[in-house]
Amino acid sequence: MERRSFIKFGGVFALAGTAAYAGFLEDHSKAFTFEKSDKAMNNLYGSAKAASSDKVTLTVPDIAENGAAVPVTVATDLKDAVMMTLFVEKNPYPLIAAWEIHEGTIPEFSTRIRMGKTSDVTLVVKTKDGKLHMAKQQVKVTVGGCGG
Amino acid sequence: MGIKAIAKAKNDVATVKLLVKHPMQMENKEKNQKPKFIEQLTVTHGGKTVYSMYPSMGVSKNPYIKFMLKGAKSGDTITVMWKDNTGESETKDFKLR
Repeated sequence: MERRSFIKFGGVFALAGTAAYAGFLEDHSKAFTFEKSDKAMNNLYGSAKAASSDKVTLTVPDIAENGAAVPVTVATDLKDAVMMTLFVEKNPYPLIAAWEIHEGTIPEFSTRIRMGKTSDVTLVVKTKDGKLHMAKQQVKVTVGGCGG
Repeated sequence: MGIKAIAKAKNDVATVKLLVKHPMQMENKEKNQKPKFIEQLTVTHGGKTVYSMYPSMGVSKNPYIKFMLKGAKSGDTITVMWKDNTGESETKDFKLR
């Protein structure tokens, strides 16, 4: 192998290596620090806009009695989904969590989140083609969970 | 700190439920309280990453996580790893039942 092409080759591998591990936080940890979800969206996805999709499923309670632990399930039937991000619009930092979707893992994840007050909750799914798909639902919070 | 898991495989699909003991402490400028939260949680199976989550302060204290994994069978090992924004981390293996 010629030296030049070997160097090129190595470079490609080095890049692929970083992308596979910790790459998301290197590129997007700032997204978690924005106080408006549109700014976080812009950091994550640039100017792409999300369209409502019936293949994106956000399961949240209509009313949460305890904002400190609101059960959430995020899921999608989209075949080429690569990433999911969850937002609570009225939290101090709206971006709650991001998931990378790996081959062999069913894209249906559950967790518990904090909600300071009644707010829209938005799930955005990115597919391989770069398009964004979303689902939104309001959750009424009777006792907030961000008082700390 | 500590990770608990219930991980069961049935018909080629494993259901993994995790409970991570962690304060997921929020920022409080009045009390001069610094945030401390898990910023990355990864699960691997057979050398492949199968679950990558990037939580924030918006995830509840002692995070609960559930996901399903295809192509896994009873007796397989999964490795759960998390690290928080202060550099603390933990790694633990679990056997699928």
